[in-house]
Amino acid sequence: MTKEKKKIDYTPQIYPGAEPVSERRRKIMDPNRRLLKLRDIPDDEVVTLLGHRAPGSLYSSVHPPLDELMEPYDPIKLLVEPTPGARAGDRMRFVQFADSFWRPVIAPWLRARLYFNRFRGVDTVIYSGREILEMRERDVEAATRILIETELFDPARTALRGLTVHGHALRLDENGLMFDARRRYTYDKDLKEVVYIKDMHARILDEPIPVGRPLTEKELMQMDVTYRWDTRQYKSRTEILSVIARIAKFRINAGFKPDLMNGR
Amino acid sequence: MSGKKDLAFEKKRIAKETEYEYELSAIAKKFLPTEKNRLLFKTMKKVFGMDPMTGIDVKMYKRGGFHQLKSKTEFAKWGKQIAIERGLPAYNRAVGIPLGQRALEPYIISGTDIIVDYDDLHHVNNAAIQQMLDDIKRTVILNLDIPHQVLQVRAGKEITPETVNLYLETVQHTIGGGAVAQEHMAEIHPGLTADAYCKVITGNDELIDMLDRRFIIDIDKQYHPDRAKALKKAIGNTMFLVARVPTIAVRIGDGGVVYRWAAMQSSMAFISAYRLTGESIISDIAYAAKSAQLIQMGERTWFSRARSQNEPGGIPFGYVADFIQCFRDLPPRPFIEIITEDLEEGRKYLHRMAEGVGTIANILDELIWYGFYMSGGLGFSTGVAAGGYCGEVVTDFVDSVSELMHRYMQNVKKVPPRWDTVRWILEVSLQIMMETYEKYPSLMEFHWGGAHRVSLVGNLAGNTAAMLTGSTTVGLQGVHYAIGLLMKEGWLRTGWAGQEVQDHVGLAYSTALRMEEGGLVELRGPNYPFASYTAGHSAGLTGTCVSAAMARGSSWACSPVVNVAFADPHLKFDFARPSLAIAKAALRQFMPAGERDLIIPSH
Repeated sequence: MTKEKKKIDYTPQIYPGAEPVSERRRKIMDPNRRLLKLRDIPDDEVVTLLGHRAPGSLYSSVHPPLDELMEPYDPIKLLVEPTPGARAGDRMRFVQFADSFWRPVIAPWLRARLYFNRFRGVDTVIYSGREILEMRERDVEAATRILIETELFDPARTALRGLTVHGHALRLDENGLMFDARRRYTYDKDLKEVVYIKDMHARILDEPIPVGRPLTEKELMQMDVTYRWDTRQYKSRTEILSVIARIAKFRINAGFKPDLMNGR
Repeated sequence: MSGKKDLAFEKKRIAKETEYEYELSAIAKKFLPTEKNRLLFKTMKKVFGMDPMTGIDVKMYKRGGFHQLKSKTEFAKWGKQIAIERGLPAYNRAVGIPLGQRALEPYIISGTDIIVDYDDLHHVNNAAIQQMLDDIKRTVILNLDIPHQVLQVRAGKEITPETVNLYLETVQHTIGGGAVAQEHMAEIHPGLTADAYCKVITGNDELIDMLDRRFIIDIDKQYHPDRAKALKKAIGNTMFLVARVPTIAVRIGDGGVVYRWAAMQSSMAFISAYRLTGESIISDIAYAAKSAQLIQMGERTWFSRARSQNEPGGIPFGYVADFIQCFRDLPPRPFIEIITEDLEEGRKYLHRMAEGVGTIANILDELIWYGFYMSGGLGFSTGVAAGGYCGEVVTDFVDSVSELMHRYMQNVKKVPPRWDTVRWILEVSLQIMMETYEKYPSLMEFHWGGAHRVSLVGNLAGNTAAMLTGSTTVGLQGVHYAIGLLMKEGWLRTGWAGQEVQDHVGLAYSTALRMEEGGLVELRGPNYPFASYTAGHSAGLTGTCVSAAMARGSSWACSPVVNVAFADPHLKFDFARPSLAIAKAALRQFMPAGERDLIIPSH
């Protein structure tokens, strides 16, 4: 007689800790939780900001649509549903964001975890101040919309930067905007919003594109995803510290054989 | 959530998390005035010319562009002139982004009052940085005992103080390209090789007395008496010959040329001094001089990073730690004793460590090896290296850490190298440094890239662990933990593309002695495979070697012979005051070797 295997219910914890920073991180990473939509950017403006194709133009493709392709049998292809961009045969394109160091609503490593948890068909590289996300063209447009319209974007401290990304660590300008050597955006004092005057690649736009008001310092303090000396300190009571210390201890003692630490 | 009674109002009050956080923010700001006493506050104020804790730069985009810097104005002028003369565009500020929209801040060299332009610290613009590399590359150490035995046993020659002195006088002639055995040898103009010479290291006082003092690296004169005693005991009766081939040799060839040059010229000196002739004995002498007990500064690097011997990638961290001569006049005592007894004395050691590691290790590994040799970058790694020796940042950080040690480690005699005992100091020191960046927007701007912060904050935290335990392995684990986990999870960012890759695998490999996994930290270099693609760690690993030696009260980190070889006053670069040498070069006051003026038209 074979024993019937008990099904274990597993709920991913996503991220440890009960304090607000952990909670922010957990919310952003958890694909089952809705992100707060703060602004509305028209489709054409998202496409214009990305600067890969003219609004309204057709997508360029690198292969025929998958439905029209006769491909050799591959069981993985049956398991993985293609993204819309892959199904259509779109070329790969990218979006890149720089995140200020000063009370960021999102930061590079959290972006990576967000991208992997919420999107499919992604390739990403993480730097200290910026992160590139590569996807099929229509997929990257859809992802960009989420990344700009929701609480993941602060017009002053998060920026679209295809090139010359430097600036995340610098002091802010007189309007509280992150430094940009290409000056892609500016603060419109009449509109009281940040407007993009250049696209991601720093090519001048025909019409400026408003992306909303900068978040206030109080809002940013609530939405900050990093530990900081004057809000949520990174001290020994922080749960994440005990978790990473445990990870380090296990790696040192057990190397790549974690079962050596069973019961410890 | 608290359901407890509020004693003041005698009613149930529920404390909100957010309330607590804002309260903290308000309280924290009250402590800001004390920050004004920090060294960092003063230097950052000097650098940026405004309150360094202000997060807004009102003059941003209105600073006059590249004209802010004398160097860039000069470059623009030269670029124009070159373009006119050669009829081909050169340096041209009209292309690329308009530089200088932010403050192009000057750089204060730590430990000096010298303020220079950032460009002056580029390795191509700074003659001292070049000479530091040249002085390392042009050094090999040959053992003299084996050739002496070969001469006695195989050739029947008598070795006396007179013959040894004659050999040493002869080798000064041959090492610079002088002929001794044949008439038809072309010789080198001695003015081009004036920096070539050989010197003897030995721990035996009687031997020293018998030799011409000019040819000796005098350990007693160069080191604190206790250090000298320990070094001489370790070196013992053996005689080593430190050969410095001329700078021009490594400029024409590479580090691999050095041991061949030295061995050939040493062999010729033996042939001349001992009147040897073309027999099999010559090949034995040549082998003894060239290969037997030969100490090179660096080994060959692995294939995909292939370089010859004596090139930066193959230099073990322990040797780099021994190149650093900043401590040699200080007594070798266990650091924990010093720091608990006397805070100022402890700081003196830490400042010396900061200067040595911040310059020599940082420049050699981050600027030269990773930035220049390996990635071919011209410019970005200047800032990463300069972060280690400019703006008194490291000095300020070690001051904070030293205070912590002095205050909390009284009556502690020894810190066992265990994870649980070093974890707190790692975390606390890293938190201090991270919080400093958060408090000082000007410092964040000064260290504008993650690589700067990784190579400084993570490495210093790891070095603190080594400084207390005397274990480089614990230091290494500290570096990996600080960069790959602590800093990363605190800020959710590290350095350039996956900078912490090696930290994750590095923790698991930290105690492995298999070559491809690392080995002892002293014997590793930036060349082992999993570490060779991510910069920002090597200076820290050299730092662990220096710190662990300090903790043990040791007079050297890895090799007493290599350590003494760099205590040589005839070296062009000053390995005891590296900051000053680099600063002088930035002011165009440092005279390097390897000039070609004698063989080119006057200019």
